[in-house]
Amino acid sequence: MHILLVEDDESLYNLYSTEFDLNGHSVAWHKVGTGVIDKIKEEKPDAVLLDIMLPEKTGLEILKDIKADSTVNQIPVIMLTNFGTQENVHEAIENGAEDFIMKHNVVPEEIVEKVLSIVNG
Amino acid sequence: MDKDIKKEEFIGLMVHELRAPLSIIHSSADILARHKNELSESKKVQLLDEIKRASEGMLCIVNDLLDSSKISSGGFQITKEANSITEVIEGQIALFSDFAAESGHSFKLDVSDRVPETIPFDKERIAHVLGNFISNAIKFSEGSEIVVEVSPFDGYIKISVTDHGVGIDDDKQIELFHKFKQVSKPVDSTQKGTGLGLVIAKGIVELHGGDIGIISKKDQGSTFWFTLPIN
Repeated sequence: MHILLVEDDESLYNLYSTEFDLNGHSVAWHKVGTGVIDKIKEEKPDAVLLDIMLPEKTGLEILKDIKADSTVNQIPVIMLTNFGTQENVHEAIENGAEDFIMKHNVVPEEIVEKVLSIVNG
Repeated sequence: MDKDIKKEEFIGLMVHELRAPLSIIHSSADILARHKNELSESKKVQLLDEIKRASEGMLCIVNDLLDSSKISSGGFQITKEANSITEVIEGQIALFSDFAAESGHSFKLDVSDRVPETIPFDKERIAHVLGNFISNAIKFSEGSEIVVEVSPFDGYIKISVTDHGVGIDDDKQIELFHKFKQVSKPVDSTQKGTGLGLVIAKGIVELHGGDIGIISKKDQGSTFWFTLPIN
């Protein structure tokens, strides 16, 4: 499985990529809110882990762009957040996100399990 | 806003700020414990570095909480000795030079000839105030010059740090120096913070007999300044 992680926190990239790697999967990293669609086309990931709070463009705006682009909108998107307000969850799911992860409530192993279960249906 | 609600928001923010590094420590330790035989040495070192950096971040937050609490209760101490403000500023600029260079910032230091060579102040505490001003200037502006100026001012010296960043709305400026300010969510992870730095800076400057303030225009930048008595 190949994952695209859109997240500006390098520590989280280090942790997630280590755990995915140890489980036989790979992670590509994109750390800004712009150019995400191009990165998806380049990496062709099985799933996108998308942070809500990003420089230049929010994760929710990027989610809408992904879902409006027929060349990439079939790729599952899982949102990452610190806040996880009901409003954010509702808006993300309504705009086509597969799921929502409160990143400080879980260890990377649980993220791998969740992404696997989504990708494998 | 009601003070109790602000207090609740403040506690919520502190918990959030502590939970982020705690989660990094927990996750790093979890990976190290479960995969100790599979991880390369360099990966182990990287995870240990994450634990070290996150725990240092937590320590800073806890120290800031303790300092702000001592300032509120009157238990905060300063030790004034004759020091060179120019040396302290140069030290802080050097400390932040890598962080500034990463984001394309440069510094300009302008010290008036009329500033006394030494004045009485607590070197460590004033360095903390300057460090707070400089790190905020880097965090809240993009790749521009940060100007630090020192000039005499009616029995005081005035130290100011000017950036060309996002600026701050008029109605938010006063709140910056208050502990239970209304919380606004940061735009990205580089702008995280407890907001206690300026509260502590105000306490430190006032204990020296000085004043502190901000001049800012939205989208044009900010000048954070403070004064110290010459005698």
